[in-house]
Amino acid sequence: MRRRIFPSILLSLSVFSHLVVAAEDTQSLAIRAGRIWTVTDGVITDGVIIVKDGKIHAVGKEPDVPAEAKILDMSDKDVIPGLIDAHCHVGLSLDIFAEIDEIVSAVTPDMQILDAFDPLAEDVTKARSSGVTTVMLAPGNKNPIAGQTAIVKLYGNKMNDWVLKRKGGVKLSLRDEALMSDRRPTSRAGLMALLREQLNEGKAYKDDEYDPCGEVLKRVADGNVPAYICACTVDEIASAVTLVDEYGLKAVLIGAEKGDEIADIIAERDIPVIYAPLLLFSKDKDLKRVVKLANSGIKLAFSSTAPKTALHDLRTSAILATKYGLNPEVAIKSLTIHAAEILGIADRVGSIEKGKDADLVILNGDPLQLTSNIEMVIINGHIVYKRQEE
Amino acid sequence: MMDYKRIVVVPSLLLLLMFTSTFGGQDIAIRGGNILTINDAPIENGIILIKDGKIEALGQDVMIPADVRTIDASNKFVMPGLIDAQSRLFVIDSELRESRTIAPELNIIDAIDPFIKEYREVLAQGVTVIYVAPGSRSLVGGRGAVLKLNGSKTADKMVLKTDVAVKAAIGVSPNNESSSLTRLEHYSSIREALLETKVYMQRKEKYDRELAEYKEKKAEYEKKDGEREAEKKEKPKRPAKFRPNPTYEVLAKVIRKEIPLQIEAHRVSDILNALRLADEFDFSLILDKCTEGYMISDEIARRKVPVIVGPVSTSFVDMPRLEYRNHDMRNAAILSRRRIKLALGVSGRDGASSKFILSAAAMAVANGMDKDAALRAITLTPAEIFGVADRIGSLEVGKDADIVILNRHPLDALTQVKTVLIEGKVVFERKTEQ
Amino acid sequence: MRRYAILLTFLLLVPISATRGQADIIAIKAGKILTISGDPVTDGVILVENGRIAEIGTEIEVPENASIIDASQKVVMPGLVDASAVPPVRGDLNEQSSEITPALRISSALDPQSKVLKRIVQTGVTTLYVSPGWRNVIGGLGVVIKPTGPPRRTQEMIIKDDAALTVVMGLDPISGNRIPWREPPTNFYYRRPTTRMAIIWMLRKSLFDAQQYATSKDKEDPGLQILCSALEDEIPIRLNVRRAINIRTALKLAEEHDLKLILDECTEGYKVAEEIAQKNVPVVLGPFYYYPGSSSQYREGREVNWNNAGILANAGVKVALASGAQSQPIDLLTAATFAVRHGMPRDKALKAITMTPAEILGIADRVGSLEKGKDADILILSGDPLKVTTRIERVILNGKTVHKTD
Repeated sequence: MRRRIFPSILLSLSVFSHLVVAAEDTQSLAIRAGRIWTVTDGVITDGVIIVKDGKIHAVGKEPDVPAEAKILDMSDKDVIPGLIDAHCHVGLSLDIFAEIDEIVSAVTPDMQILDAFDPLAEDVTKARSSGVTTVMLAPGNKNPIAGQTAIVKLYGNKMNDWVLKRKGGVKLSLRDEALMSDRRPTSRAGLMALLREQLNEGKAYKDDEYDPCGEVLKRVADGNVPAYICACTVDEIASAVTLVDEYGLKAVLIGAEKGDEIADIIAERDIPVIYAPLLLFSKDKDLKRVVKLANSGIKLAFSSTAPKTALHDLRTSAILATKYGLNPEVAIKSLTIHAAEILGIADRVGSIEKGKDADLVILNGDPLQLTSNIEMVIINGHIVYKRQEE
Repeated sequence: MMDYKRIVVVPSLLLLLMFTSTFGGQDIAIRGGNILTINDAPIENGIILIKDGKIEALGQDVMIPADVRTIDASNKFVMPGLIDAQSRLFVIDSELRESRTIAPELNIIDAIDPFIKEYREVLAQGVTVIYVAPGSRSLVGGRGAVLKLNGSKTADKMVLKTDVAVKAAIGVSPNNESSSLTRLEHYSSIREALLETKVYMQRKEKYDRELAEYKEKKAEYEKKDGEREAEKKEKPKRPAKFRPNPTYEVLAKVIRKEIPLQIEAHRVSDILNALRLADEFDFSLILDKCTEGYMISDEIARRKVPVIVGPVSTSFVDMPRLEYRNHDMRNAAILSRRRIKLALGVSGRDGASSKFILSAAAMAVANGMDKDAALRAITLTPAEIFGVADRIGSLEVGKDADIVILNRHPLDALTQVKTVLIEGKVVFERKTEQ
Repeated sequence: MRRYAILLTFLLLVPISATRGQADIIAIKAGKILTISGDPVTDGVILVENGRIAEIGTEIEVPENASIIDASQKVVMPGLVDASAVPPVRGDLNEQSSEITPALRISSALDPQSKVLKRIVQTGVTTLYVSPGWRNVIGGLGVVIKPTGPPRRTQEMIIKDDAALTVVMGLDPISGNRIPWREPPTNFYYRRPTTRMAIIWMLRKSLFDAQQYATSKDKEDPGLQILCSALEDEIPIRLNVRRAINIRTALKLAEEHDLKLILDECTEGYKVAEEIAQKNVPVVLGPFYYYPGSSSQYREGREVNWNNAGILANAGVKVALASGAQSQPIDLLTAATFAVRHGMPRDKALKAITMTPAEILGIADRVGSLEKGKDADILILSGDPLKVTTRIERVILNGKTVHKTD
């Protein structure tokens, strides 16, 4: 009798203590801020955000401040929602060269990029000062059907806190990089033939005989799971649109650098675009393209495709876009709520609203100024970065 | 008869006028703007008077002669033309890829293609001057030059100054791999070259001495012709022919401190090696890129070595490079705070990237650099480092009228360059819409 | 005199109408019209309406709102049809991972922004056939397009998809394949065919598989489906051959399986002209070269005869002259001039770059001649088309001027 009670007491004690620790972790905060950019409900001047249990408990001019809340005085600062990098490769490799392409086989829909993610990687830790709080991780562009994306936060105590979506969608690539000299496909026509072949197989898949690839392909072909299609030139984007029309894919374009040239065709089908980082371009003509896309009514998000460009420059893309004509409101939305909507996580992130995750970025100035610096970053209610004074 | 003269004189006068107006300086005035002189305090609502392409006067109470064209800059910012100290404009990519050799005799001016049209977009963002130098693939790649974006069709008309510095690189791996030539070898190869230069200089000096002696003796020998047989003097021997070596000739100038040596170094060990070389040979050192400089800022500050920092963000470069592993956007701020003479460069993926110089400065400010220091780092400081500060870099009486007029503060993301002047001539004017 | 005054005022309107783009009704007043389908018309008028030829003749009433193009000193002919053109495709023209790729559609790789299209138009070509490459035994399906545009989507260019199946008998499919003699196979290039015999075997096997598939199919196979269509003459076969022995083998194979055959390149066709004529197999000649361009051309085209076109035509073979998908194409007018110089009758040469390829491609109802109802694809030349000094002054495609020289 004694033998059985003792271990169970021990067990319950440890569980209890764990809960106690967990409770201490999520301290309530009351952030007084000069300007709160809610994104969905305008800018609140001299307001307060109440953070409780990792969520935004309240936001307004004079909300009730809980007694135990720690007060952060940011009364001369700007607060924006945590930024969302809709397509990148952080934490996926040992070095700055990301191991994101499993190119031995051209078709790898069953691969899940989350399996390659190391939350303790150096670049993830460094990333916390960037203001980006949620990212979609994706495989590279060297496989026509590359694998499944994942959506993660850049901080978490337990794995569940990190991962928003283990399987976001399937990454497809129509880029020249997907053509190889020693593996199918070697030609663009072959690439299209391969994609059609695989989508047809997906449509024909019957789950009486389990096939991991077939199962995933079926969900893509039936439009139940997003197809993140990487396409840059006009003919690549046109080919993507052809597949969308033929199969009814729930597509999102990745990159779409020259998409402005057929913006109406993209807009017609309500295909959202996760645009390539603007610092990849140097010609005025190319820097203006994203503006034309936005003005055609296409829903936009920005990406850094880190480490190709630094995660810290996600905001730079949006700022450069405003320099070349993008509406500043659209710029902020593309970094936050639009990205969340495109990725299907708008119930959790993308704006400063009651009930959403407490992912907040505090800056010492206008978020759309390059001269503004990030003072503090909060993810799930935890202060994950605080700028040190030199 | 009189009419005949008039027919000849008047058109030729007109021609003369046209001639002077295109080749000579311009007379123009800028009124009403917020003048950021850079070398001194800003002048609110100031006036700049330009004569013959130079700044004749500037201040709040400047008289503008009646017939001088005036540009209205009210509610605008006026500042000196910007300088990108790490530009690739006009130089085709392949020209930056010499093999790993020591070739200081090469001159970047020979690689310039003035017909590259991208310079217009760069000019439209306020950049009037660029510094171009050979790339980092060679250990010692050649000499860099300062160019003005004045739209010339020939390279020499663009050159503001040639032989600005000899460009070298330590620790930069070609193809982003560790090559067989290790970083230690880079350092020792350059050191060896400098040692050999010293030997060369001694040999040359010896030859010059011997040649002078020989000439003296020969003159004497020929003079005492009659006494020759009596004194049985021997015919003086001419010293062995000395072949000048172009490589060592240029490096000799470095050692004599006539030309600085600009060393691109990223890692702490490479920067320290560069500093060691400067200590040993006592040449004028300029540190280029200096990626990990923030870790050893004291060492750099102590020797008063000027630094050209760039890229401010790794997003500017073509692909993630091993050298930028410890890149920190606060580098410029940290070095600047140590009073190190600091210039900023874009160091972008191609020539057109020079247009991002103001954005680069703004990013440096975001990461701790003082606003004035940042603006100075893209105007006066690079001019000083390259030895052209007598002509450009600040709005001062006597300097070239290279001026940029913006509708907002230059570090404001939404600022637009409205007008650019080079030597008083309007070379860019933004059309009303945009 | 008054006529000239009116003409002068109309002439003034010409640049305006040209810059305004396509007007609905255009009247081309031509000094000489080579209809190709019939006798030439002197001092005639072609009336174009909504991109089609509405009327053509000498007594045509020109509507008031028509914009006039004065070609009264010029020669007018139909836009050229290139039956084997430089592909406006990015990257590899062949899917190299397999030698048999019947379901590969080159139409899915067309790049509407390709600079090739602009150059093609400048040489007077208004309709072209794009084929998959010649590195596979069965390369895939070609497509007939018109270089309209620049279009944003390839669909806007396509006239006829799945136009023909590319098959190659010759050295091209062999080159690149390796035999694992002393080295183990490390990639898919270690495969058949490395000999002529293997090529024929693979063709026979594919046709056999197709026949099997036709009778009993357990799984959908798009490749075999295409081969079945070929067996049933629904899709013609464009067979690329250079040497006479290969031509003979091709004809034999076609007879065995009753295939609808068209021969491409046919460098030694002159040696077996009668046999080709007997089997009623049309031939698309090209590329024209004084010197071979590729190593396969060099090895197989040693016995090229510049009289090839003439000999074939005079033997009764339907001959089309094409640019032959070379990256530096000789333009079709030069090819035709060249052929005439070496013995091809003049009228057949002109047909060889217009009507004959249109027939071979199966689009003769739309293009290939200047006839009422056909597409308004028209060339205005400074002189006789078969004169080397003649310039193409204007190219009209679907009634719209797409190229004009000053």
